[in-house]
Amino acid sequence: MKDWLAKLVGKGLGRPRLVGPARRVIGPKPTKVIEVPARFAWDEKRWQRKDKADHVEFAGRYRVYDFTARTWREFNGFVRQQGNDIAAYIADPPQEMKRHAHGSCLQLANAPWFRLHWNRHPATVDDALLYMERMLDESFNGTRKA
Amino acid sequence: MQKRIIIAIAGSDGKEFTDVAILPNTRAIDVLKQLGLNGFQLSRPEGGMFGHGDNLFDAVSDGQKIYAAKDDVVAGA
Repeated sequence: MKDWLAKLVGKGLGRPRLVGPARRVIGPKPTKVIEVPARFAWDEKRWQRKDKADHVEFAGRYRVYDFTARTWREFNGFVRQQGNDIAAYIADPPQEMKRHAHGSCLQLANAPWFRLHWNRHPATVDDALLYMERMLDESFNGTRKA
Repeated sequence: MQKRIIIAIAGSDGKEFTDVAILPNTRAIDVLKQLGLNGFQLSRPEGGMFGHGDNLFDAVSDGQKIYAAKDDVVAGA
């Protein structure tokens, strides 16, 4: 064996030297499942809550899919809760909403905000928010089947 | 084939039915009845509400969260 080869493999220099990746066993770790906490609908829809001195305000965007235009339609929204009184507002409601059976229940409060007046009041902010989105959906899409 | 969904009660602090399994052709009313949610309606993922007779299975994705809201809220001038 040539000298350079002998040096390389270690022959004649005592124990052969093995060069290779370090032995390391990688095994599966137990999976950690992150539980999603229950959330209010307004929270799920990424609305923001602001606590005021005597009332609570929620602000976000109503979001509904328009099947005719094949696009999502969004409108600034605002819900004010003071005790049991819940007022829902929408900014610049679309023309389609004026043709809704309850379109006249939207009345200009402070431009561009329109307040929705209730015949039967919602008990929660979520109910008010979801009702406004229902009106938007019915305005754009009418009544449809799944 | 089945889908697993979550039914959350709108406005309730944390009340929800997790891991609800539905089969093809399940209607919204089937879910509401079996969960004892009388006087509620289910919200659509794309906004609006399901009619009681609407096919829920075709309209939701596996793992999706659906809100059940009171159906006695009505606008009025």
